[in-house]
Amino acid sequence: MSTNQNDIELSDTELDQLLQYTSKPLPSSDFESRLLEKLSTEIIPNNIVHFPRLRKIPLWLTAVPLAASLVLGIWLGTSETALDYLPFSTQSMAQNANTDALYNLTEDNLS
Amino acid sequence: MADRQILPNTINWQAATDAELLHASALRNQQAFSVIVARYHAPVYRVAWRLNGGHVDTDDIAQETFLKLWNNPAQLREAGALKGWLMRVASNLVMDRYRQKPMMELDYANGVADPAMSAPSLIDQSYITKIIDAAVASLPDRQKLALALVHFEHMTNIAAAAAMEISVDALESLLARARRGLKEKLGPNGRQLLAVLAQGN
Repeated sequence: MSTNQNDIELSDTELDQLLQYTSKPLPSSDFESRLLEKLSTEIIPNNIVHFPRLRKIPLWLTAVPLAASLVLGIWLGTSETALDYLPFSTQSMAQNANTDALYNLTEDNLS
Repeated sequence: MADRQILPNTINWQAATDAELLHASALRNQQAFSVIVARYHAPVYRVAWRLNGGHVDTDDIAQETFLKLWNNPAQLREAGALKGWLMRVASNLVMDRYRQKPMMELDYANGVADPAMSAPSLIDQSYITKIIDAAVASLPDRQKLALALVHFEHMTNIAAAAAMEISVDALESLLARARRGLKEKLGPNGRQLLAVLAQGN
């Protein structure tokens, strides 16, 4: 049975030989020119949705408040006027906190 | 818009790489695009022809393939895969088109012959060619495409698998089935065809 089938069935080499005889199709000679002609008349599909652009804020407009807050922070930090600007309840808390810190520091030094 | 003006008119596009040509095409440079067409239109045409059994629509399909590239070159992410991408688009177009239309149309394709034709009537080589073409045309689409890319277009298995978006193993399986199918279709006539061809030589 297998011998018989081998007799009938083509081998790989024989199949490759036969496949060499398939057609070698060629596009028409004016393929390129017709295509390029089409390109010039082709309307590009407009499937792109443009989002509205956000208004650009100038850089200095952001930098000025930031710089001002930095300067204010430094001034408040270096001067002793900071407590004057705090609300009353917070003021006493801040004073207590300072006293505690001073007390702890003294205790540490003594020991 | 400004990019268009950056491209000089004196570039030798013939020597440009696919990536350069694609970039220029994206900027609507027709000269660059025509070089892509010149480079690849023959293989694209052959693959489409092979898939649709030599139907008269082949030219239209090849043109549509290039128009898709022209209209949206950005859909191709890797310039190195241009040939494979074109093959894939062409094959998808063929399959889509014939899924919509009745396959009967293929019977008129260039007078494709019946593969079961008896040996004595095999007179000349052109007729034998038609019989082999018909055997190839009767294979399932995926097998035909695998065979067209690897056997007829001499693409590597890796490139062909990438073009078909399948694994190399799957491609090899398709090729093996295609060859088995061809052997079955050509049957005992295959040897007789070879004998006739040998006599002719």
